[in-house]
Amino acid sequence: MSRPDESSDELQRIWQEDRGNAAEQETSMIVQLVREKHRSFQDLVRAESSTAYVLSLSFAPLTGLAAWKAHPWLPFGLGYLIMTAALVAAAIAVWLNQRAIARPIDLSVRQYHQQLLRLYEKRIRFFASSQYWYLALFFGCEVVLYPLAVHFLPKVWSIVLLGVLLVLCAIAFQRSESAQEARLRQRQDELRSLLEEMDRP
Amino acid sequence: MASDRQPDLEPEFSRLLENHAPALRRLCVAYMEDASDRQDLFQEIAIALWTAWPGFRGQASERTWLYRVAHNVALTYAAKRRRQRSSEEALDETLHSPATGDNHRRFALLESVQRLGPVDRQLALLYLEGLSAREIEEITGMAANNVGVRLNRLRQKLAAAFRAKEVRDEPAR
Repeated sequence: MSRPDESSDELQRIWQEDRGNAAEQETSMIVQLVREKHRSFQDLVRAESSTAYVLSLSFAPLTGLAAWKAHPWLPFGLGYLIMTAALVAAAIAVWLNQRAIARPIDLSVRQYHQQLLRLYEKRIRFFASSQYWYLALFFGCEVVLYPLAVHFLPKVWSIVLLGVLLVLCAIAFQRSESAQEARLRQRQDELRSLLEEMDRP
Repeated sequence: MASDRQPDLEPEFSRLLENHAPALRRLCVAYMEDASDRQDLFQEIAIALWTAWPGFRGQASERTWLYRVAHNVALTYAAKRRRQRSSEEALDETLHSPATGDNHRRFALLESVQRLGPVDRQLALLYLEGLSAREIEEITGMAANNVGVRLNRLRQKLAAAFRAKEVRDEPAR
């Protein structure tokens, strides 16, 4: 019968003898692979950000210009102005959110997971705020389209129709936001239980 | 961008990876049961190390720093995979088949480690790699006395599970 210390050392010896299929891939090959994968990941992040910027920052000057050109006609001028403000707000929100994503990974496991918790909280707030500028953008579109609706329908029915569309849009955004929030809350719960588990003696 | 800014870091990074690749692969095996998941996790860890490597200033030892990054990536990756897969998958027997002698004992030990919860598994892996309680405390951020108590319990638990598995499998060999 071996002593506990001896069996512990024996466990470490057995564990470390496994070379973990070292011959599976050469280190140089892995480094090459990592470089390529890292680059493609950065390309993906850049592409995601640029899509958001292209949508917001290139449309914002256009709607701004349209607002200035159309200012003698109140609904057009006002609608385009609201759209411009929503697009600029979206660009700023995306930029701030992108900055929050960059985080150090070489923290202790506890610090890293606490940081992840905070990051998820920020993402939840980001999703919650995003529905407002989407709604503002949609509302701007509706104000621009209002004269067209009035052309085909009585004034009251036009307002009702656009109002219903706005409410439906708000419900859709709310549902999508709730689903995303629930997913993030579930991850937060997992992290919290992990941190609690770490504190348990 | 680390890859474009400092290409001279590549030889250093290769050395780091070469020195610690066996330990990192063992970590992947303990966290992931599926062979392709292990490969993906290994690459995820390598990418995280490559990204963080230019920021390594030597405040902690290289080994401690590496295990911090590796365990952070592994825990996050394992949670992500758990969410993606609802059902448990069978152990990949082609890579770690229960053969004879030490290979069989390694398999028994691996099985015991894989059955642990995430925090205990992390502690067990660090202990099995031969890190001191002080280093484990630095990597996990857990309180010193907590690390001591849990390590003690884990050592006994692993040894007992390992012995029981050996006794159980003895007649079959």
